[in-house]
Formats: sequence, structure tokens, C-alpha cells
Amino acid sequence: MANFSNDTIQQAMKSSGMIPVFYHADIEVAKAVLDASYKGGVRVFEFTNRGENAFQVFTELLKYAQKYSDLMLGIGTVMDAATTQKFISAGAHFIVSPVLKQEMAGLCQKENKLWIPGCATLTEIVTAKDLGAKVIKIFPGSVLGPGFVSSIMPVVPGLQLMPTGGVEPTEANLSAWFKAGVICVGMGSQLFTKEIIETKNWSKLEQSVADALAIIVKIRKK
Amino acid sequence: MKEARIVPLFTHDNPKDAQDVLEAAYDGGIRVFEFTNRRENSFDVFTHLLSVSKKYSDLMLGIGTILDGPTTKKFIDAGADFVISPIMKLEMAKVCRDHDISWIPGCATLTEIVTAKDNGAEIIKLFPGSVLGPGFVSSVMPVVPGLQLMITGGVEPNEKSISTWLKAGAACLGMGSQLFTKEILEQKNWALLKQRIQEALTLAREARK
Repeated sequence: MANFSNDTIQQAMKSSGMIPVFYHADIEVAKAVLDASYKGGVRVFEFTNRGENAFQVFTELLKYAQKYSDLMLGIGTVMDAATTQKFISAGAHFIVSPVLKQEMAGLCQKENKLWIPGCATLTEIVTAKDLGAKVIKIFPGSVLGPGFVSSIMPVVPGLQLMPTGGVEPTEANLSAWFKAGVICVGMGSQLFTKEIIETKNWSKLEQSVADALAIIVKIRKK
Repeated sequence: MKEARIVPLFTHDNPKDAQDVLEAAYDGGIRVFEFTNRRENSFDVFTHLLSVSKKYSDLMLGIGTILDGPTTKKFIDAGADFVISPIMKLEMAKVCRDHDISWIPGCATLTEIVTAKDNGAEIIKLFPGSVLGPGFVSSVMPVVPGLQLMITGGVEPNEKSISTWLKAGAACLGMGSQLFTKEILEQKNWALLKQRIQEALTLAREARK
């Protein structure tokens, strides 16, 4: 399994601008989604721990992902230290959480893994930063909105924020987030639509991923 | 602060311009002023303003955008009348309590607000106001009566914004870039600034009636 430094992962998040957030109980679907995402240009991928067999699917996906030497595969929706340890031991490249939990910070620091906690207020964000978080997830993005990011950026300069939840693969939505100052966005159900998954339309998924990444490149050039 | 209704928040790296703004704000009727710690030389500019403010016996000059205990201590030692933060950090509460200085933490959920209250905050800053909205204030006020909320971020110096926030139950309004516009600062148009402040204070008085 390739090993990536936390700086490398952070840099890859920043340069690609978008991280897919995905869960499926079927390993074959998960593999196909990973392949399509990679072909579409994704280099940082978050599989989420949202089903009973998520650990099993994730470990198999990690094995499968070894064919891509430049793909970083992390685990999301992790809520406590014990689960964090389990996934780090399995080989997760980074840990994402929808909450800010101090015990996870200590463990990730000890294991030298990138810890991306989910925060919803500036108090939580600064607490996370003080606990060593280099990248902070803003969740739920749809509730807080780009206005939240643009309000806090001048107050605490240098924050590396990634909104997740309700981020849409449209120029209007993406441009509002990037203008507000985020380093990347997490995108789940808006990208992996029910229709695409049900019809296993992987070429369409690859196209949607490539389109979303192209929009981000275009926005950043402005 | 409640009497003041409007608390300007302002930062500048030029001491002379900062002084002119403070004087214009005072002339416009401001009695509580927040200088924010957002530049490298903010401490020096703030101490200059403190020396200027000695000529006004009824002006309270505090420091804002403070994020930790040591910085809180530094500004209190310099003479800040109160300390404002965009976050709720308990180590700051302790420093302020030890020095008998008002701690105004920034909160964004009712849990943060009540935690701040339990730790001695009499006035709590709601931030970012534009994201939470007046509806947040009117929802929490009946739940925890007696809250003194200061709204910061997105308060506009017009009748609609001022009256909506005050009617929702805000104790006072913090106003920054909307009051100290780029245009006013670039042109150093202090007369216009004074006028804007007078207008905002009048609107706040009328909204309270």
C-alpha cells in the first residue's frame, strides 16, 4: 500500500478541489465507482463508514486501489477513537468525521494521520485547529452556506476548509464556495445520483466527475 | 452597551486614521467602541487609541477578535475596557474574571450561549449574524430569558436590518465594514462617517420605541 504524507494529501485535496464522498455495501459497485472517479480525475477519495459491512468493503477497496499509485483513499463518518484505530490499522490514508471529537485528534496525531473533523461553529473550528486539525470539514454545508465561510475567513486567516453536504456540481454553487475561500469541497449524493448507481452508468459518472473538476479549474482561473 | 445599541467594530494599521475614526464615532454619538485585533500592529494602534480616549470620560474602548488567554491578558494589562472574541473559549473567561473585565464571547448555538452564560458572560456575541439571522435570536430568547445578545456580522446600517434585529430581541448591534466602508476610509471622509453613525443611532433609537 502506498504511503502518503499528510502534507501530500492536503496538497492533493487543494489541487483537485473536490473529494467524492461515497458509500455502498456492494464491493463491486464501490470498485466501479472508484474506477470511474479515478478516470474522471479524482485523486483523493473518501469512503464513508455508514453501513454494517463498511469495514470489510473498505479494506477490500484499499487492496483494489493499490493499482493506482497516486490515489489517496480515506475513511469518513468515523465517530470515535476505537473506530479510528481500526481503520488506521487497516490502512486508511486519512480520517474524516462529521463531528469534532478530541479523542480522535489525539489518536490521529499519535499515528501521524490526517484528521479532518466536522465543525459547524467558529468555536468548534478554532478548537479543532488548536487540537492539530490542518483541514476542517464544514458540515452540513447546505445549512451553513458559503456566507459562513466568508464571514469567518477574515477573523481567523489561514483556515483550510472543506464543506460537505449539499454541495452541488454546478458552476453557481461551486463558485460561491470557492469565492468564499474553501480549499476543496466534498461531494456525495449530488454526484453519485441514485439514477447513476442504479443503472450502473459508470461512463456517465466518469463524465460527471470530470465536469465537476473542470468547473473548479475554470472557477479558479477567474 | 444596551444603552449604546450600536457598537462599531473597526481595525486599521494606521494610528492616525484609527484615531480620526474613533473621534468621528464619538462625535456621532458612540460611547462603546470595539477595536479589532486583526493586524500585526493592532496592539500598538490599540494602545494609541487608549491614550487618545482618555479625553473622553464616558467612552468605553474594548478589544475584539481575541482568540486565547495570553492575548486577553496582554490587552487587559494595556487597559482594554472589555474583551470580545469570535469564539467561546473558557480560558479567556477565567482571565477576564480574574481581572474583573467583561468577557464577550462569540457563540453560534444555544449550547455555546448557555455555556458562555454559565461561565460568567453577561453579554454574548452572536456570530456570524448573517448566517444565523434574526430568526435565531427570536427562537432562543423565550427559551433562555434575559440573554443579552450582541449581533455581529451582516448587520446593515439601514432601518430594515436594525429594526429587525432589535425587534427579534438583540441587546445591541455590532457594525463593521458596513459602517466603515472602503470608500469612507479611502477618502478619509470623517464628516460622512459621523453622519452615518448618527443616522444608525437614530434608527436604533426609533426601533426600540
